[in-house]
Amino acid sequence: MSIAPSEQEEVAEVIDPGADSELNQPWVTLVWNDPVNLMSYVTWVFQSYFGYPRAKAEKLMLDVHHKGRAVVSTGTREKMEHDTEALQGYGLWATFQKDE
Amino acid sequence: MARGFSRKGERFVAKMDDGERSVVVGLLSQTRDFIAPPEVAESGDPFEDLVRSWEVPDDAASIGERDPALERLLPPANRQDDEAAAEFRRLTERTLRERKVAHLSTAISALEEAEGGKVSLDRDQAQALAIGLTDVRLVLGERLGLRTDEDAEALHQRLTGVVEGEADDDSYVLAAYYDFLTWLQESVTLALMS
Repeated sequence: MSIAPSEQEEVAEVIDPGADSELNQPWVTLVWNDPVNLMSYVTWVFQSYFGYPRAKAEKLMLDVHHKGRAVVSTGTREKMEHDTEALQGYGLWATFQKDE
Repeated sequence: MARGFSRKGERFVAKMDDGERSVVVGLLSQTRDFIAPPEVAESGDPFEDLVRSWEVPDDAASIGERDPALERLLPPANRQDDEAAAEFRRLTERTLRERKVAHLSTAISALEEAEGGKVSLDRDQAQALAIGLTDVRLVLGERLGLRTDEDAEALHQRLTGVVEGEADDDSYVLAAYYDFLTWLQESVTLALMS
């Protein structure tokens, strides 16, 4: 038997987690510009910790420098907290938050 | 007079006289003392000690009352969510401080071993020096009131155009140390990437 359209939508909303679900929403790690950290050092950290090639590490560093901050990794909340802790260990001003 | 780091195979070598070396070791040591987490008196119960070692004296709201240099070394990890930042701090602060202390200790030992004005480090020691110098400069930078890239540039300019008599000023000495450590950190970092 058929289901009226409005009832169908309600069912669909219940069973489909959707893009707003806490589980699916990606998180990001940010690095913020500061006057002490050397451009060379920030580049080296991105190469060392993330394994990014030199060109990508430099580009991210320049984004931090010119834009005030940059997203350096994305993923689950747990992974972003792990990255934030590691980057703070290197002395970078790192934070994590939900991706907007 | 110091000569900056260069890579020779898998060694990282520099020249530094005893005076310069002792200044660097002194600053690394002071920073280590500053960062080291507070001792937790043992209660005799390992579980209780472990739980107490997780406690951070300040909650996220009062973190701003702590030394601003410590704030900068361990910034709130989530700028949008105070609870998330507080939880992160509870779970990671002690380990972070211990890890920073370990890097500083490795750097200090490596420099103390140097002889005849020559410093020779392996890769781990060179990395520890690069990372340790970052924390020293962050603390010095905070004490010098560096807030923006322009502040840092102005500091450097001020040193190169020093006014006679100004060299006795405490903040001048701090600025001169900061400048020297900046040069040193840059040289070891570039050597690591070479």
